[in-house]
Amino acid sequence: MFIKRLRGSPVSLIVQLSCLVYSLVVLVPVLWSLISSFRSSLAFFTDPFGIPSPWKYQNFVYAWNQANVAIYFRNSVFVTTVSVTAIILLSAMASFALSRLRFRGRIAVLFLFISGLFVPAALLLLPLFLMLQDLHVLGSYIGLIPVYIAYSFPFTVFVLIPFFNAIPQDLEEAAFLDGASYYQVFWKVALPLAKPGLIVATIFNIFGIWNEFVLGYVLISKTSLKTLPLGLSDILMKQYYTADYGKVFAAIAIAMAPIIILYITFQRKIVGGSLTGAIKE
Amino acid sequence: MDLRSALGLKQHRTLRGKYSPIKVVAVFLAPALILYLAFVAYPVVKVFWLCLFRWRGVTKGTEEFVGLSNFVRLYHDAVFWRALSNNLILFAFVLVVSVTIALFFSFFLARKIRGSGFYRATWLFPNMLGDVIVATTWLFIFHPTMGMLNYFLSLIGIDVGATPWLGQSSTALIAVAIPMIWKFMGLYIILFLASIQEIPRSFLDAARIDGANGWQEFFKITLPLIKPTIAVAAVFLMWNSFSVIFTYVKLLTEGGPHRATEVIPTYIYQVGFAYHEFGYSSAISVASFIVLFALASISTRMLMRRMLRGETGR
Repeated sequence: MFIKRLRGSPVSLIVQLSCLVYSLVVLVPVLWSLISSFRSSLAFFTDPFGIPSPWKYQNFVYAWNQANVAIYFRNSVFVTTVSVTAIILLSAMASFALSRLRFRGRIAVLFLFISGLFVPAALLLLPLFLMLQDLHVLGSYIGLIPVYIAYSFPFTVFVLIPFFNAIPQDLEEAAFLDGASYYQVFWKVALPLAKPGLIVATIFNIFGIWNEFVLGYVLISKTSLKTLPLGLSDILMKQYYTADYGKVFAAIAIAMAPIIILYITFQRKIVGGSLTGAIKE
Repeated sequence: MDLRSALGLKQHRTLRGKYSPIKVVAVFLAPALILYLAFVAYPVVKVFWLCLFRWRGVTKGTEEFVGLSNFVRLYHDAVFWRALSNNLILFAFVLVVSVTIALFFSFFLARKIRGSGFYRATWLFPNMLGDVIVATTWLFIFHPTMGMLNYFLSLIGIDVGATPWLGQSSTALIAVAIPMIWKFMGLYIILFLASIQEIPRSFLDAARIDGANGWQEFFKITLPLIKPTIAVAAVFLMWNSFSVIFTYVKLLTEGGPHRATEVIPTYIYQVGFAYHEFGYSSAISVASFIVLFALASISTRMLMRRMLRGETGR
């Protein structure tokens, strides 16, 4: 009844209009920053909102080579690949144990992992810094990557456990009757069945690590090891003196490109996966 | 009802219905657990230990045990209270504004209006962008002379001149909140939308037969039924907020002007890494943890129940 009443009514018009307006609020800043990556730094003062003429693609050449974006990009790819692979493998193993195995302390361990959702890394920067310093791994990936992995467990376990919970008991029992070991059950039965969850967890962890700023900001100081968000903030700080805005946005566009590609490719999974704990295909 | 059945443990049978071999459990659990204990649990313990000391220099061995005196100092530190209140205002503002607007959109989007697929995909996109990217973009939007905001305002006839939104105490805190709202809103809309679509049709049909109108439907049925989802959204924001807030404040205002946007994580960072007052910095962390734990203890129990239900149901 309400649905029918809504069509063509003033309420419906207001709703349609607000949806359009909000879409513009989302899209315009993104498009503006993408277009501005082709703007000459002078044009930021004279014509900041127009279409750049000429399109200054040199911004990208400069950002990639002189402003070290090539290095940052390579570092981000490396750190993200290693971290996310480890996060997914280790979280899947832990989630399997917490969901399908029976042992004393199961609830306590689960509680420990889930309560990590309330432990913001930003409150622990100092102890982490001192700890990595004591271990002589401060300012290196051997320090940074394990930290990234550890702080991703609560969220990833939170996402994965419902998927492991949903695996039918019968399938496992059947595998055991066929003489499979626990490890075979994990690899051949549990992992394939939890695949939708693994995909969602992978996508969200890729975004998370690719974009991570706070931990890297404190734990990494060498330019040659900085990831994209850290490098971007450096470039941004530098432009306060040089006003090279075109290059800032070229760097932004380069950092955004993989996100846009990934988002468009996995759009359905991401929209569905945003329901984190609540999801199952 | 005892705790075990409340948590749903009884109905969740495990492999072979008996205890699993301890070796198997260890192989699966140990790698994650060890990393987690080392890099998450240990720093938590360490920060509670560090807050009892005062450093005379930056090197080891110059610390002296001072008990709780860091907390006495904290109590008299106006900047700490300023940072805490800014932090809470920021959190509350982002939460209230995004939840209200997200409820509006999700309620209507659930009615399958034209283009809802496009809206969903578009609105969620900012959530995937990194905080550094979002902050940089908004730094330019807020720019007094070449920023989009002032340009747009002048177009619709509101001439604010060269208002430095991020540079004046009266607007800086709200200006820092806007990019966060811009980023999180889409996620909230999607979350609420899914939760609204879960409401059984029979509930709505029954309400309509009883003659409920749109408003009544929203306030009497939709809102009460999606309350848990709103709680989950608040929890996720809380968990995220310190890192997110740090990034935005660091890049947009550096805590200024005159501490108008100083927040807990930026203050902790400043005291710890710029002033090298490790003990005092840890005391601020500990105080924040206590506030956070108080808020979180309720929600953790709720999340645990979800995890242990033994099915993927919502």
